[in-house]
Amino acid sequence: MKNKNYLHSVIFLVLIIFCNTQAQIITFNKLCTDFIKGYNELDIPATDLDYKVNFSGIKSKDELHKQETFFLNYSKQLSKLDIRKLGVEEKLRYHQINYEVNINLERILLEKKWNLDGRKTPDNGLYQLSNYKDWYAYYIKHFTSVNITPEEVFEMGESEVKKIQTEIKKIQTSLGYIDEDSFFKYLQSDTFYLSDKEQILNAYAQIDQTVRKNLYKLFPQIDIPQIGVMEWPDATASTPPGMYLDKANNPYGKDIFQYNFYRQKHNTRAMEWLYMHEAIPGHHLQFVMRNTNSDSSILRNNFFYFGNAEGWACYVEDYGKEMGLYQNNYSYLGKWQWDLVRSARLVMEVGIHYYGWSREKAMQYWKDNIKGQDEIADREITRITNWAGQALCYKAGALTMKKIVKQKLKQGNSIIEAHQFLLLHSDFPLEVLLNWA
Amino acid sequence: MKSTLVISLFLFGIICKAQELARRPLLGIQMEQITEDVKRIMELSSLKGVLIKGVISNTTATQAGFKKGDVLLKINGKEVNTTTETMKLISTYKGGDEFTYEIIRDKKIIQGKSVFKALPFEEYTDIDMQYTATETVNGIQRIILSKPKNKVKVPAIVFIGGIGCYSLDTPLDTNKSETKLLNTLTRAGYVCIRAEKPGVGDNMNCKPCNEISFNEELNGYVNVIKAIKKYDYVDSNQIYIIGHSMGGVMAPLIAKQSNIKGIIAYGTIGSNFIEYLAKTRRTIGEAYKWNPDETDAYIKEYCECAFYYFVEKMTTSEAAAKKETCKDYLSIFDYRSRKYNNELYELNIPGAWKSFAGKALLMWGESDYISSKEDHQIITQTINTYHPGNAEFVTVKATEHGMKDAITFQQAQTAPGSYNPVVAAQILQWLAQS
Repeated sequence: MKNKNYLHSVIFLVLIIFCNTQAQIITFNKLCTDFIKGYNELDIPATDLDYKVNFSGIKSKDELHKQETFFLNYSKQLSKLDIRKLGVEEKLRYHQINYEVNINLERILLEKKWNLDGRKTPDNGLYQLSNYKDWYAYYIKHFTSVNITPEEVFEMGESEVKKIQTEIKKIQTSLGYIDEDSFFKYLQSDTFYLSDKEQILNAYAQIDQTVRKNLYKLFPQIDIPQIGVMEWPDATASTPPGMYLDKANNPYGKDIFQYNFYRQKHNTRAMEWLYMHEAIPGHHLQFVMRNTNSDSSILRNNFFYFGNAEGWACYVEDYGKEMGLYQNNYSYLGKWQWDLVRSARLVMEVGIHYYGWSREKAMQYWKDNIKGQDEIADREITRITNWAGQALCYKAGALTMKKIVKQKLKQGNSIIEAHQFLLLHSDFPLEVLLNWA
Repeated sequence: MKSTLVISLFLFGIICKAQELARRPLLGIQMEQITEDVKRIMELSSLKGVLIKGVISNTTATQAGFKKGDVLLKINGKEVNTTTETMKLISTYKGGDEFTYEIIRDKKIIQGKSVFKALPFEEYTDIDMQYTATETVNGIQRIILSKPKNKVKVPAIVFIGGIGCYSLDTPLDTNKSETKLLNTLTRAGYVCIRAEKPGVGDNMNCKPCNEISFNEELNGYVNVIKAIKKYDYVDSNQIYIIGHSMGGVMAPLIAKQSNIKGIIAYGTIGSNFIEYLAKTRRTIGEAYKWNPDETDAYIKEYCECAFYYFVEKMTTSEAAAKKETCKDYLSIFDYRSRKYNNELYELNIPGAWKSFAGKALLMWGESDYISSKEDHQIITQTINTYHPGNAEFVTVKATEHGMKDAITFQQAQTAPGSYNPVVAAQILQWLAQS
């Protein structure tokens, strides 16, 4: 009898715990639903890449007050939730809402001050604002979704630039070039450019085949639909090397990888890293995996984080050798040459927006550190001046991904499981994955 | 009974006036050419039609049920194979007209019928927008006015655009430099008038813009200014012109036939046309980052081509037969008529400013590689020689030809930013003093 009573008590206790946990999950799910509904009703403008467009869309004092009240309310509600009772995925979503609440409150504070200061938009970078340090810190966070200071970004950029320059030098030496100028002059020659589209398509088909053959070594096995490869229509001098367009966001009826064929030539050194970045295992795999996620949270795919999307595509470029690519010095060099541009962007961006570098100073930095790519210097400096923070998402994102993978390996996961985790959580801020996964 | 008849006639008059120029249709699709790549990827049987890249809500396209990924083949039985062809065909209809269409969707041909939706009007809470029209030498030309709210009679600013055949009536894109500039001036108390070029936008009974001559276009603007002087809210003694680019060449010629208080010329030409062409090829070379040898060779060849075209009066193809590169260099002139280019060549451009006795502000953006600083100084000097103290020359820092932010010629060429509000600020400062 005593035992029976004891058993009843235990069952009762388990039921209470179960019900309590279920109640917490139901409460949390309702909170998520209400948060998304309220968030959408606020009609907060989507962040444009051009900071000037963002400034022009800053709402009035009253609208900002409404936004502030909303986020403060959720800040309070979140603090009352006992997250220990949430499941693993719910916990991550909890931290995601918390992240959104905090970053929005940070933005609102800046926008309120900007309204009070007379709504003046700086012409050539955030440095012209009196509180540029706060604005730039916000832009870094927005585009990387990582808690990182401008000083750290600058340092990270400088260190990556040095590392990559050494790699390039090694390749130069192994190719037998002592003189740097003649080496880079040779790299500009027609040998490295394809002008026949049939040849380009064949080369990409070959790369695709090689990657698919080796993919399972590091990435989860999944049925990846074929990707359509085509020239980027109406490319100009400012067009980047390539772009990925998922089926839902293009008119062609399938997932597409577009390559730059400006002036009817395509750089062969860029083809392998570019395919990895834009297609497989980069954006295309990320997109396909995201759609296989069974997470039914209302938050799913409601927010987009540049640091996660571009960070992944940049991160996977390092696995070219494992994917059967970078088998010759020149394609490996191509990877480093673009990585150098991305790393130099970190330094120049912080220089312009945080340290008040002039355009000339940024140009000088480019000339001193990047050989053989003068034709895109002007475009790149314009880009980082107008798109404050955006250029950081690639490298800062990739380096954070490396940290997350390291953590996952330490926790006993395989590299494939670590990659699967990242791919299934591509709609999360990296900060949340780094701290709470 | 009598009063009812008067009211009815009055209302009829208003309705007739408002209907004198019907609104053109808003198709509402983003288009892309069907290339071999598109044909291969979409498994199309031919290169015919235009691919619909996107559909704008609340437009003809949504009404007709067009979807992203459809291939538009025909409108009213007429094939459309390029964006320009489609836009040209659409411009022959008016909002409210019925039409038939043929599209490819999922590899199947679909035919249908719908009605063109009219382009909306620009609307602001703090500006009165008025869309009127007037009969000119070219047909019926659209006049778009932006008027300060609750003002009775105010000075007017007429905007004359550049050489291209483009419309200033772009309600779906109010971030254009011209619109932003004029709205700022309106908010500062001026009624601003956008004079549409003949043959574009809603205009009726006009020849296509690329067929009219320089003088025909000019006379159209003279007619527009005559018409707006009759509007009761326009102070006819205080009419200014902003001449942008080629509009700045037209401005003093318009002033000869109208009473104009002042001219603001931005990014214009101040020397004779061939001289201007030669001069600006060097800045173009700089913008495209050519080395000095390449630029020199380009200028030499360009001048030879310009000689064939303007002096020898050859066609682009005839000049190209003499020198192959002329085909590329001269193709830009084919956007306007032979007569337009002949009349432009015959002009004494700086000389046109001699007789202008009003005030003038010459503005040059420091990153404008399409016009030259020197040309603006030539005009200033000409005016001040004949009318001392009447002209002022200013530069606008970090601004390109289209009044957008750009720090260098290269940036202006590759990636200019958004409209620079300093342009309006400098104009307002000058207006306050003039």
